[in-house]
Amino acid sequence: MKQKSLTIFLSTLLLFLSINFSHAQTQEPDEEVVQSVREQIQKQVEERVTSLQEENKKRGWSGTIIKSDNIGFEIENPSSDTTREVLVDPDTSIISETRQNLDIEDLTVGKKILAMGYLNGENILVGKRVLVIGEDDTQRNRFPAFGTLSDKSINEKIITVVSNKDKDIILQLTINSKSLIETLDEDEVDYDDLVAGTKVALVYEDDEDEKIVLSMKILDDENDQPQATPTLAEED
Amino acid sequence: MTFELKPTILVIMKKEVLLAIIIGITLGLIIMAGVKFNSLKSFITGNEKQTTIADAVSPAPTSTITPTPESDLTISILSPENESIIETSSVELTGKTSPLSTVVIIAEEDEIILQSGAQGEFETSVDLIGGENIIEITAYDSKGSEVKTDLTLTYTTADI
Repeated sequence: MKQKSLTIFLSTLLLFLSINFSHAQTQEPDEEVVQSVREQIQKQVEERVTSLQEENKKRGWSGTIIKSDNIGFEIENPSSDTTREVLVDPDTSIISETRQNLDIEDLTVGKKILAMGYLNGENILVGKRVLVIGEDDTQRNRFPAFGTLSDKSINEKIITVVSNKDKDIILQLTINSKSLIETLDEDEVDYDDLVAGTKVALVYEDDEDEKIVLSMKILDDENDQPQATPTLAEED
Repeated sequence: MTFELKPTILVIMKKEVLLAIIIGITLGLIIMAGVKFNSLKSFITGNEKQTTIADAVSPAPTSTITPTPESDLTISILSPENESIIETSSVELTGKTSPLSTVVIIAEEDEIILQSGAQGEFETSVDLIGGENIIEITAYDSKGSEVKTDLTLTYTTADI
């Protein structure tokens, strides 16, 4: 009897396990699908990471060629006082100022170029596109300023702004039709509404003859009266 | 007697069989639970692995340009990176300076004046011209101290 019970017990156990394992076997593809999805996600993630890294390594360098050979050149950027290497190959587009295609040999010492490409691990730019650009002798003549409006002319649209940092720095600025005067909330302000003592930030153009306000923001309504208030505008 | 004994034996036999079946099923369940637990554990481990990959996607620390300040005032450009190539005609410029400072941005054909936020953050859209763009960014505190940095960007629609 005991033997029979044992047989039944073992048979039941085996039957139960075989049913469950066979069920688990049929679920095996689900695991495979999960694995496959996981791998696909991982692949996409890796591709995106690579793409982002490449995007981040896209660089544009400008400078004057100081050394050149058939595989690349060295440029010097006067503003940053650095020399850097650019590699080129036959696939690199080299474009002249007149939009003509050039050869590597045309990139001679002294030419000013803008090289675009990717940074390699050695911080060398692998050039994909090189533009020969003309010498730009024009200096930027727009400057920022920050101070307090100390005076304004009634006859002409001329304002006087005193630097908050150094009261000896006084700017006489012309307001013309190009000038945009606004509050920080971008509400336009008329010249007539300008009040002495107003704190302002501005960008002006420095022509030889005059300094013209291009953009000016009224920062607040505080009456921080400047200490130095020479009324040069009034003298005009 | 025979008639009375047989059902008793049958009942005993049935009880034993029933007990054997119940024990068999219980053991089977325990074994299956163990198997499921292991597979669940491996699935969770897999998820942890995915988290690691997800971490890899998170953007790399943005480069900053921090000039030597003349005062406590500092300025750093969080994006875009200096000397980046931009493929759109305007770019979202974000940076950080001292709280509530005035920031003046002079781009090639654009001037922007704004105030930084309570944490010193600032953000604006800057129009670009084709080729090299040198963008001057100056921050002023209320006392008029200033700090300046330049950002060079190249705008091109050509495939690089």
